[in-house]
Amino acid sequence: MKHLDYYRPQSLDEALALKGERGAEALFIAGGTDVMVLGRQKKLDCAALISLRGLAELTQMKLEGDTFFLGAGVTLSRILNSPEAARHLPILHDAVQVMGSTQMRNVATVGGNVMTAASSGDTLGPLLCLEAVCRLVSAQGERRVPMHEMFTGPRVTAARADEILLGLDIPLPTSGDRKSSGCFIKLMRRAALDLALINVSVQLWLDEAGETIAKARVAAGVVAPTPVRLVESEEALEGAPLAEALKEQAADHALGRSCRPRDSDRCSSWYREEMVRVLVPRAAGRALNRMGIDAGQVG
Amino acid sequence: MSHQGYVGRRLPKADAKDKVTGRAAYINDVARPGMLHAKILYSAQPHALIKRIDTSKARRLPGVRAVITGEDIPDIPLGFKQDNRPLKKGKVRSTRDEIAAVAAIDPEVAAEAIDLIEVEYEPLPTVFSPEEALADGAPLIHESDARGKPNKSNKLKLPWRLNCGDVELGRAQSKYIAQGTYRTTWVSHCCLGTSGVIAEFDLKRNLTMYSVTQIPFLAQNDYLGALRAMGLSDSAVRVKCQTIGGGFGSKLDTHCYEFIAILLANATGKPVKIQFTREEEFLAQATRQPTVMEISQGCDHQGKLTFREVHMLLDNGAYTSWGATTPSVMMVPISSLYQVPNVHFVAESVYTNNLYAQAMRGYGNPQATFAVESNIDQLAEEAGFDPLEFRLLNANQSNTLTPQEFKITTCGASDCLEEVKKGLGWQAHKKAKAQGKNKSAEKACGVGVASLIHVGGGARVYRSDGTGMIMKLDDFGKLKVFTGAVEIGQGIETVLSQMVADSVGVRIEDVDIVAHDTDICPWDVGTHASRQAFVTGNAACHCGRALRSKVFELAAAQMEVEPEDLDMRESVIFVREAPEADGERVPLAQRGDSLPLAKVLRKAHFAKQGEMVVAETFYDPPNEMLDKEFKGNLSCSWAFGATGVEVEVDLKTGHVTILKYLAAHDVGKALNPMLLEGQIYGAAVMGTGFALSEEVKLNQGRVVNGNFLDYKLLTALDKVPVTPAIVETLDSAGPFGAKGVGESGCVPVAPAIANAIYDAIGVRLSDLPMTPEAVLAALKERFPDA
Amino acid sequence: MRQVIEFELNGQEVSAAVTGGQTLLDLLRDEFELYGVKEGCGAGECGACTVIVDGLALTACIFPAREVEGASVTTIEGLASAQGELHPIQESFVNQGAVQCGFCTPGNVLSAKALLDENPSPSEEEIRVAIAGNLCRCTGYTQIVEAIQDAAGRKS
Repeated sequence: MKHLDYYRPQSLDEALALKGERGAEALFIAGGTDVMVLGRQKKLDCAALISLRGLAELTQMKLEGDTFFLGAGVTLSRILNSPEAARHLPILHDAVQVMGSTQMRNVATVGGNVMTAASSGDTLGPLLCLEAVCRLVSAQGERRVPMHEMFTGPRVTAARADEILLGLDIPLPTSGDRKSSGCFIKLMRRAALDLALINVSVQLWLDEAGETIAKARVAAGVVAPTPVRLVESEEALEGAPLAEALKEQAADHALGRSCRPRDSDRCSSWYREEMVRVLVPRAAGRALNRMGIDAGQVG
Repeated sequence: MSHQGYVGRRLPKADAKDKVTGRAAYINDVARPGMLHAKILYSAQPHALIKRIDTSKARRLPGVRAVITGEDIPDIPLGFKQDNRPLKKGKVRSTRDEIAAVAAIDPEVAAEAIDLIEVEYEPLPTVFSPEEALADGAPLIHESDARGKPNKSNKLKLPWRLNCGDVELGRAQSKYIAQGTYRTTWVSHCCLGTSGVIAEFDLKRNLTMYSVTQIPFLAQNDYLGALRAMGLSDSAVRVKCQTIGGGFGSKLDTHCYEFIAILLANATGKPVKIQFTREEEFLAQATRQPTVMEISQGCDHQGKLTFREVHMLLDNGAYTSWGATTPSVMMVPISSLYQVPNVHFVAESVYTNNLYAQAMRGYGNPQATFAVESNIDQLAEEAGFDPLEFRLLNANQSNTLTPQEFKITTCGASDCLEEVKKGLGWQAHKKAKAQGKNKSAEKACGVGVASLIHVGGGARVYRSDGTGMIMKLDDFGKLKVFTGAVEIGQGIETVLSQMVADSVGVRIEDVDIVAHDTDICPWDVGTHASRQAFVTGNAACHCGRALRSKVFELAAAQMEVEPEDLDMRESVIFVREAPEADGERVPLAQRGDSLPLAKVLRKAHFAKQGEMVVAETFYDPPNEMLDKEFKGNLSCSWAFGATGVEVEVDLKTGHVTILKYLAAHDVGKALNPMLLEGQIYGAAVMGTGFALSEEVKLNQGRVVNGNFLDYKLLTALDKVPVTPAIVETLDSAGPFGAKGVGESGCVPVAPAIANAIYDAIGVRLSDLPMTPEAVLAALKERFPDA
Repeated sequence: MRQVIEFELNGQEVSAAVTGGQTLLDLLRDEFELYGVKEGCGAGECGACTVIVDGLALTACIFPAREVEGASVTTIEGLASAQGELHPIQESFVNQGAVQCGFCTPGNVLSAKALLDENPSPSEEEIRVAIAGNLCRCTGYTQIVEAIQDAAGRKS
C-alpha cells in the first residue's frame, strides 16, 4: 500500500489525463474512507491512486432554477450543514445525519458513496427517490445516467473505468406548485458509527387538493444486491389516498420482487423484511408531517 | 491518621495531565534500541492436524531475523490448566491458535513473511457448543490432560459444586417456584489501547518485559516458568508496566503472545515487540465467559426465599484461562444475593473449538446475576409481589452470615433499593401502568430493577491477597510511595495519594506514587476483584502510621517533647493541644511548637549517625480462601448495590431505549466521588453493551465481526442517562470505611434492563444481547396475533 | 515513490517526504514522533487518531498523508504550551474526570476542539454528535460530555 503512486491533479482534465495514462492500474480516490480501509486490508488492487479531493469542478453545491447540483466531491458534512439541503432535500439530509461519525462525514463525499455503490450506501436511496441524474465525465465528454440505471450489481456501477462522477443533478421535488416531501430512516444497532441493517427512503408528491398521492418514490438499501427502488410499492401508492402510505402493507407489494432481503451475519432476512414493512409507512408518515399534514389524522 | 480531608474530595486524576496532552507513553508508543517487530500466524482451521509447516520462504525474505513454530521451541505449558502452549504443535484446536511467529526489522516485513508461511492441515471434526462437545462420540479437543492422562470427554476436570442447606427441603417448603434458562455469549473487553509487549534480554540473560499486565508479580512468575523451560533457570525477570490503555480483566492472565515475544527475543538476541492490531485483539484476546444457566428459586407464602438452584454449562473454548474459574465468583450472587437459606450450584466447563474466555469486569458475576435477578422477577410475579418490594423483603442485612459463610458486616442493600424506588419514580410508574398509560400503539415503557453483591474487601483467590508498600521521605519532605498496584485508568494512584496524604499528614502535592516496576515495587497480587483501593488503602493506613511514628520520634527529640504530643498536618509537625482543662486549650510546649517536616528530616539526616525515614508494610486482608466445599469469607467486606432502569420499547422494531438509569451503590465511603462516579458511569455503559448490543459472533469458530464497525460498542450518542446514588455504610474493615467498587456497576445492568423490558411488553428475554431483532422475535412468539 | 510535501503542523511550517499510500497517522507518528495520535483500530472506526485538518476533525489512520499538502494540521501536541500550560478543553477534561485509561482522550479532546471552534456553545446533543466517532470503553462518556460543556462555559 505504501508503494502506491499518488496523484493530486489540480483539475478535472488533469485527472482524466492521468487516468488515460495509467489506465486500469489507477483508481480514483475521493474522501478515501472506503479506499484507504481496503488498502489496509490489502484488498486494493491497483498501482496508483488519483485523488479527486478538492477539485473545484467537483465541490460545488448550488441551487440553479429547479435543479440542485451536488458536486461529487461535496462532503457529507457540507450537506449536513447546508440549510438549502435541509430545506429542499430533507430526505437526503436525514441520511447524511446518521452516516458514520463527524470525522467520517468531514472527509467522505457523496460521490464516493455513489461510486462505492454498496447496497447499504445511505445517500443512495434518497438519490433514487429524488430521481437524481449522475453526470459522468471522461475524455470523450459528459453523459448523464439516471440514478435508477446506475447500480448494475453489488458494488458495480454503470460508470466506465475512465469516467469520473462530476456530480448529481437533483430536480427539486417541490418545483412548481407541487407539494412534496420525503424522509429517510436507517435501522442501526447503535446511534452512530454504524452501517444500515436496512434503510428506507420515501418521497411523496401530493395532488393539488392534498388528498391523494400523485407520485411516490420508495427505495430501500440492504434488501437486494444493490440499492433498489420499490417500484411495486410506488405503483400501488400513486393515485391512492394518503392513508395507504401509512399502512404496513405499503411495502408488501415489493416484498419478494424488488425487495428480497437476505440473511447475513449482521441481521436475519425475516427481520429485514419486517422492518421494510414497518419503516416504509413510518417514513411516509414523517414525510406527510413535513408537508404540514398530521399523519395521525390521515385516514 | 491526620484529618486533612483529602479523602472524600473530587480531586482530578494524577495522570490526567499526561493523558490529555498525549504525553503518556502506552506500549504502542514505546521502542527499545535495536528492537525487532514480530507477527503471529494464526490457524486457518478450527480443529485440524498440522501436517506440514514450510517456513523457508518466510526465512528468506530480506529483513526477517527469526521464524519459529511449535517445533522449534521447548514445551512451555500455559494457563490455569496448563493446556495451552505459546505456539501449537501438531494440532490446532481453534482459529485463534498461534502456529508460527516471525521477528523482522519492521511490522510490515514481519506481516509479509507471515503470509509466506505455508501450512498444510488435515481437518478434524469440530464442536462449537458445549452441548455438542458433551455428546457421545464428540471429537476430543484435548486427547490428554496436562499430566498426560488420557481424557475421556471434553469436560474439564474442574467440578464446581456448592451445596448449602437442603435444596430439596427448600423446594418442598416453597409455595411458589419459578424457573428459567438464561444464556450469555462472548464479549470482548475492547480496551482502546491494543495489547502489546516488548521482551528484552540483557547479556546476563535477565529478561525485562515492557508490559501491559494487570498482574506484574504473577506474570513475573509465569515468565520465570517459561525461562526455566528454556534452560534459563538463573535468569531474573523484571516487569515494567507501561501506561495501560484499558484493562477490565483482559490483562489478568499472561497470554501466548507474551511468551512468543520472549522466545523470539531469545532467538534473536534483540528486543522484540509484538503489537496487536484491532483484528488480532478481537481474535486472540480471550473473552468474557459465555454461559448457559438453568435456575430455579422458590419462596414461601410470605414471599421469603426458600431455595435457589443453578446449573451451569460453560463453553471453555479450546484452552483454559480464568474463564473456567469464574464460577468461584458466580457463587457469590448465587449463594448470597438476598437471604436464601438453601442453595445448590453446579457448573461444568467444556472444551470446544471456540475462543476461550478469561476474566472480565465482574468475573462471572454479571452472568450469574443476569440469571438470578431475572428469575427473581419471575418468582415475584408468580407470588404476586411487586418486584422491588419482593427484593426489599429478602434483602441482605448487616451482621449476617450467608449460606456460603460470607460475613456480611455492613450492608446498604435496602438503602440502595430505596434509592432506586425514589429516583426512578417506581410507584408512579406502576400506577401509570395499571391505568394502561405506559404504552401506545407503537411504544411501551417499563421499569426494572436488579441488585448486586460483590467482593468489596479484596478476594482471596490466590494464596495471598496481599499488597506491599514502602514509604520513603526525602530531605525535602517529598514522600515516595512504592506500590505493586497497577493503574489501568481506574484512578488508583490518585485515590491512593489521597489516602496516603491523610494517613501521614503530608500535603498531597508532596506524595508521589512509584509503581509499575517489579524491580522497585513490593509484591502485590494484582489489579483485580475491585481490590486496589481497599488493599492499598489499608496498606497506606498501616504504613502511614509507621512512618508518622518514625517522624514523630525524630521531631520529638528536636522539639524536646514526647512523640505522643505531636501531630502533623499539611507537612507541618506541631505540638498537640492538651486536653481541655479549665475550659482552655493549653499548648504543651511553647518553644518550637511547630516545625516543617522537611526541616525535621534534614536535621535528622545530617546529624551525626544520621537517619533516613522509610517505612514498609505488607498488608494481607483478613479474608479466607474458599474451602473444599467452596465456603468461607472470601472477602472481608461486601459491596452491595441496585440498578433501576426505565426503558421504552419500540413495539414494531424491538428497539430498546433507556430513559432513566439509577445506579445506587453501597461503597462504604466515597474516597473520591468524581472518580467513583466515573467508575459507575463507565460500568453502566459497559453493562448496557453486555445487555443490548455486544457479542463476538462466531461462525464455525471464526470471528465474523472482529472490528469496531461490527462489534457494537456503544457510542456517545447511545446515551445511557445514569444518575449515581452513593450510599455510605463506613465499613470498619475498609480504609476510611471504603469498599471496592471497580466492577460492581456492570453486574446488575442486564437483568435490570431485561426486567424493565418485561415490565413494558410482557416478554422475558433470556439470551444476551437483547438485540432489537431478538426483542421483536420474542414479542412475535409471545403474541403471535398482535 | 516519495514526494516532499509542505504543510503547517501545530503552528509550524514543516516538510516531509511521504509515500503514496502512507496514512497521516503513520506520517505523524513515524516521522514527527507525535505519539499523542493513537491508533485504536486502523480503520476509521474508533476516533483515537483524530486530528484537525483545516478546522475539520478527521481520523488520521485512513487519511492519505499526501492530502495534507498545504494544509494546517493540529494534533494533541499542538494544544498545550511547551511548558505544560493546558488548553481550556484539556483543563476541563482533567478537572471533570473525563480521563480514565486515556487512550481515547487525545481524540476526544480534538473532536471537542473542532466542535467548539465552530460552535462555542453547543447543546448536549451537539456535543454527543461531535464525539460519537470517538469510542471510549472507560468513562461511559458522561464526564467527557460534562468536560466539553464546562470548557464551553468557561470560554464564552
